[in-house]
Amino acid sequence: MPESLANPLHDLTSRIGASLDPHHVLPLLEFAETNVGSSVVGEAKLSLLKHTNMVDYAVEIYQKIGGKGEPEWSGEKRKTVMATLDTLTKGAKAFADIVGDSSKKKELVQGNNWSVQGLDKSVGVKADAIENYRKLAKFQYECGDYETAYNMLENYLSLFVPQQKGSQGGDSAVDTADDYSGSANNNNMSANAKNMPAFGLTDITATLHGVLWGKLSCLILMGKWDEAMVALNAVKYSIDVRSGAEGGLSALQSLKERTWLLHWGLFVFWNNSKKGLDAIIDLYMQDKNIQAIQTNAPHLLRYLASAIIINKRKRANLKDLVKFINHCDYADPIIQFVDCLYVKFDFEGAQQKLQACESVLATDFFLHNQTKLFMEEARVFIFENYCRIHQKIDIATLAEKLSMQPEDAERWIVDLIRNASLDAKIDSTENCVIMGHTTHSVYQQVINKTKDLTARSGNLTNNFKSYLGDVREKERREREAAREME
Amino acid sequence: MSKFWANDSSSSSNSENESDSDNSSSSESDSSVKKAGDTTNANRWVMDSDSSDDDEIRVVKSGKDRRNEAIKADETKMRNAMKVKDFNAVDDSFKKIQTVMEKQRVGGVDLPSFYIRMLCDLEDFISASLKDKAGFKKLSATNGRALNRMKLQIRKYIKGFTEQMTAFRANPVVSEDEADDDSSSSSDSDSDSDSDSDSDSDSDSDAEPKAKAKPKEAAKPKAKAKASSDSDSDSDSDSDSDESDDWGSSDSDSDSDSSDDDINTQLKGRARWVKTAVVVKEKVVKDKEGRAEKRKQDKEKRDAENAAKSKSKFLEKEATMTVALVEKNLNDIVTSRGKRGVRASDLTRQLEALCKMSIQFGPTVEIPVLMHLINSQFDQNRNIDDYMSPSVWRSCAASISRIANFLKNEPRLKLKLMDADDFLEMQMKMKEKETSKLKDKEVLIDPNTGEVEDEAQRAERLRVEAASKLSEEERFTIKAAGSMCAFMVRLEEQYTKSLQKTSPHSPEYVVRLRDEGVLLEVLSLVSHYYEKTGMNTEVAELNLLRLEHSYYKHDVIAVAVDSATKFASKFGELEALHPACLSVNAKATAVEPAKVHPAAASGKPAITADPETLSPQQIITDCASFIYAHGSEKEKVRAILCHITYHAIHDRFEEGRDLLLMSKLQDTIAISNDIPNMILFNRMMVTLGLCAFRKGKIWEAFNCLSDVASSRLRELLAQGLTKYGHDKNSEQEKAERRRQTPYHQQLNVDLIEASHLISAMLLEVPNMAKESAGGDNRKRVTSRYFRKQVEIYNRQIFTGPPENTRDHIMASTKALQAGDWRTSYEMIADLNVWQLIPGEGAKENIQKVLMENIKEQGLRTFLFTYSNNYDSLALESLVEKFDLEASQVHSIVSKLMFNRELLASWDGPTSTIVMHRVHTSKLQNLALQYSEKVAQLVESNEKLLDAQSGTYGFSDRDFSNTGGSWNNNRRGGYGGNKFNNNRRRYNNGGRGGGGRGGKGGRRNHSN
Repeated sequence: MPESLANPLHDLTSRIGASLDPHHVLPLLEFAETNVGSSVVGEAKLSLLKHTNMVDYAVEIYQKIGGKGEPEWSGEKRKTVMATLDTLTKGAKAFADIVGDSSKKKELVQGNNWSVQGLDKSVGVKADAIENYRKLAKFQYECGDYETAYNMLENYLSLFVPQQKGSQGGDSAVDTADDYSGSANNNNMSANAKNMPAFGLTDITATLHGVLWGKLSCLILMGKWDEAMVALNAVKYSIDVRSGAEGGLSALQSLKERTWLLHWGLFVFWNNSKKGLDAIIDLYMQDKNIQAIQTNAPHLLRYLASAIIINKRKRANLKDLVKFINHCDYADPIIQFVDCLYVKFDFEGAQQKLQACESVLATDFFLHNQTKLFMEEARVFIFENYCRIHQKIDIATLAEKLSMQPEDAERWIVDLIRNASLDAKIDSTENCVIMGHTTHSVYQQVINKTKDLTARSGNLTNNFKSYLGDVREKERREREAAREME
Repeated sequence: MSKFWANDSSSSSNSENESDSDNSSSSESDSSVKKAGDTTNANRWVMDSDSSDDDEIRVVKSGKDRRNEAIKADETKMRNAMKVKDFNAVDDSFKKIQTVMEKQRVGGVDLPSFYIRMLCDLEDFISASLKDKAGFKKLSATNGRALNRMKLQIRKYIKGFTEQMTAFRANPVVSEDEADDDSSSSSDSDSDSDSDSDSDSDSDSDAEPKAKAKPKEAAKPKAKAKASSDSDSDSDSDSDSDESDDWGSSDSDSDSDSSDDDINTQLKGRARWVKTAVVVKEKVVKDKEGRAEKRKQDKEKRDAENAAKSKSKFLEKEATMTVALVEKNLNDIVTSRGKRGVRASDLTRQLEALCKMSIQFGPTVEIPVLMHLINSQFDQNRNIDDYMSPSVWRSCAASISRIANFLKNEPRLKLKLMDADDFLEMQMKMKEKETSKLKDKEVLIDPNTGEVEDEAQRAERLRVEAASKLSEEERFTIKAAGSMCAFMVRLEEQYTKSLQKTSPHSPEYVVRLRDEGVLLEVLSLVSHYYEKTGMNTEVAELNLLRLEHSYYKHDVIAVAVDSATKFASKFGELEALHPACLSVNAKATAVEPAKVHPAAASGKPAITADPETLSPQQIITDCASFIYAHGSEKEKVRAILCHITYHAIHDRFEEGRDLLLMSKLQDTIAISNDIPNMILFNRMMVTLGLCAFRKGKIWEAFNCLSDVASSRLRELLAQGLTKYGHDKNSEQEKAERRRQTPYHQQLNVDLIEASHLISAMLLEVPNMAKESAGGDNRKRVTSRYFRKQVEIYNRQIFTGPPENTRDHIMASTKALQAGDWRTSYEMIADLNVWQLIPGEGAKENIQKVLMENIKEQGLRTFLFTYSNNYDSLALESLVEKFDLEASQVHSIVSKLMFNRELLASWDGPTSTIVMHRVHTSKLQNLALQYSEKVAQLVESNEKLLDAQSGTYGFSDRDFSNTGGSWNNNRRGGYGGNKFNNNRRRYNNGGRGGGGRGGKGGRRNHSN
């Protein structure tokens, strides 16, 4: 991965890149080109492209950064690429033909033969042709033809979706290890899943697991964020299933895959602004994922923190976030900002950090679009906290804390007051904001304390009922069993 | 043991039981041997036995003459009996002769020729009478039995004399080989139960002549032997008496028990060799190690002479030793292993000797012998609480490392575990050989050269031929008994055991500690071999042992110890060196006596760092990660625990904690039921806690420490037995004793307690202040233990100046409660225990941490306690009072305000704290409390249902986000499963260890 990138602005490209597919890193690098010198990035790109099949693109880059002709490895590589492409295409031809012939396909689907076994029986397409097809898809992906790869993978996956009954299990022939994501999924255990969201797949083998990853990857590169979100969930589900299953992913592997997932998710979430913000928080806040972040990728906390700050509705998660921050050995301006504001209550420090944040965000591939939003929300956040513990605030100090002109600050506060999100008044003679008394009366406290009790009790009764029902059911069954024994 | 046998047998010597009568003969022979002048306990029972034949004639004669006469008298008797075919009488006389001969042999006298003649005659006679079936039938029952007995006896007995006898027969008498052969082969089948008497008597009686190997040469050594025996027959018996309980008697016993091994009897001849060698070896060893202090000086001298003599003999033998012989001897010794009455120590000695002899044949021969030697060394501890003596341990370690080195230097060598089939095969081969040998005893001719060969040569030739047929790989595959890995495990066990049994304050303990280096080295050698052969499970096992012997050392110490060991191995003890060479200005210069002390001339003794040696950290990481990859579950757990502890020792709290969290051990350890692992877990938690404490992570430290440190700390760490708990029986107590942590690995209990109490104090004091201030009606107890201590302290009528650690902390607590942080700090800043923390400036560091925390908590306590008395507080005054930065105070106070723990707010422009105190009426207060109680009731109901149904109701909970605090308690985290976390005990058997589910520091401290 491109280690050579300088890191003046808490740049995470290299750290994130470590958990991404080479193809994903390319856009990151292109973005980084604006910050760092293009030659450095070019070299990084080149070293990246060596691992892919995009020879022509590599040559182009090579020439761009001042190389003459072609790099010496390119000729060789091109030859092997072409050769592999040939063999794979030939190998997969039988299946590809059927896929191409929509009427034939329809017929097969209707005849309930659209599965590995069914194809073998009805039209004599062997499992290895299908396997080759899958490999070809991966190969196309490596070549940068994501669209084709995606379509092929779709076709491949559809084979494994059970139509009615008895069409599963054909994948026992295809349990070779694969690595769509540079991973080593050397498991060939199939995990059983019931009514599942992973595109209706019932059996997720290592191969299918890889295919799911591949699909997600394609969607990310194609920029279809909504679909990518679905694919992401499928992969997540697949990881859950496979790490739970005996002989599936080992603890370490599942940790690793989770880390990848969290990284890949960055593309999906930050480019899908509406749903993404909620999704990222939900995903990252899951216990297992938090563990993955803590152990493998503390830098992801930046994105989590940003998401929480930007997304007001999820502010409640901040407390948890602070906990995680305490446990991680990672610091960048965004994290420090949260730390200052929420742990140390050091408003000046927070202000300084916020300024640092601005530049960091602007150079972050995922966050640069959100910079403005972030700054605004962060400012409000500071102000809220500040107000909460003060009863009288000098506007000048406040303006300083918010890095605004006093007049702007005043206007800003007036706006807030007017929007009724703030119980305060401005004393213009002293140039102060005077906060309204926010202490709860005793009655309020009692009400607060007992507010949810009814609901909780109701819930409790429900739980109890269902529990009783379970117990009775069990007893009944036992009795029956005993009777049968007799 | 022979005592009992003797008594037994003397009473039943005439019984019909063959084996018994045999034993009697053995006992008799033994007894007479010993009577010859020893002072051992044999005397006690010699009087009881009635075998005083040789005392009949009381004329003063030389011992030899006397005995010869006795023999002759018996012989006449016997010949007479033979004439009348009174086999009973023959048997009797023969036994007597044997007895006397026994003594004769011990006296170092060679066999008289008439004796040989007699033997031949007797043998012929018996075989003849056996052939005479008709005559046999006519015999009376007693006589018949006696004949049978004789047949067996003589067959055994003459084994030792075959050479002399054949020589004799070849010379004066026409041989009757056929008869001879017949008799022996026919008796083959039923010679089961009675290998005894002969085997002892002959193994004892003719080591000497056999050692001389050939009867032709008999004349010369005879004279020599005579001289020696005449000159000091006493000395011989002396040395015998020393050995008699060591090898002489037990050896005979070892044979006497080898009931059904024909092999064994066949091998007798070789075994004798070994014995002579053993004498040598043993004496040499004894003399060398100076363990013979009890002996008198002159005896020692004589021993040494003897040793020298027999050593020369032994060396002579070494030249004629062959691989086949070594193998045979080995089998012989090994088959006697574990038999009744065989002492492991004797076997060890025999094997040691054999081992020496086998060196010349290279590793392929030596390794099996070494393996057996190691086995026998381990065999010496009979009982589970026994441990190997350090010297044996060292030699054992040396043997293992020798094997490992062989394996290292010759990469083609491979060890193969001998399985049951191999053993069977071996025995079959032996039998086969034996029968075939018996058949063509006469014609032992080398088919290649046409020369005559004896059985040993033949065996050797066969072996060589067999070896040449083997493929390369087979040749380098050594079948050996036992695996190196198992040896290492046991070696380590013995080492730990010996540390447990040695008093930690004795110099022996310190000396013993040095062996850890040896152990580690051997471990790495052996694991290297397994790594090469790709046996990952073994490597994992060995790596775990390595880990367990290195994880508890700080790198600094480990490196120092390592270099000290190297130094010692290169230059010897430091004390033994000349002080001059250790002086500062010792430099390697030309010797100028005027300027430089000669001892310092070659410079300071120093060892150069070997660039190949890995740093301790590297070793630990390697070992651990290997185990994670290849070890079994249990090994992984141990490795992780060691690894975490190692991180904790080196102040890497985060790494340790992450490792712990990833392993999820805190959840599973309690149900693992594996006490040693629990103990290790407790040790790990404590170390981690201390680490957190050093780093100023008070909350984490407290959580790590509280479970283990709250009660029965010593027991939970296996650092001493606790008296309470009378329900322990002796078995449990023993088991607990076995689990004890060796002293040098123990953690300082005082330090643990201090850290625990101080962290509890820092957390609990503000908490208590808050409670008493009534701001929050809910009682949240962090540390029950600490509160109890405080209560006890408060209950005292007179409070004297603090004496022990706990008193200091309690006094400090009092001061802190009053908001007097300075006194509080001073009370605990100078505790002695801080000096126990390793590392440069550790004490200062701790003091700094303590000061900061005490200030902060003091401020919080102050605010809780006295805020009611203020309307407003200036920031400056607080800054002054607590000697903190303004920003710090601001941050602490802000936090309190933010969390509504302090009902106040800042007045921005003047930076003062303005209290918003609401005076609540009594009714309001009660209402608050009541609502609180109701909430609690609901909550506890929920808990009850949860506990019953097993679900923690996460899904149902999400709707109510208001009570963030109680939601938090349930989040996974450090297995912070509070409900059943409090008083868990895992008493299995000896209540030895309890891994208490740790609840590290995931919960947020910043409430």
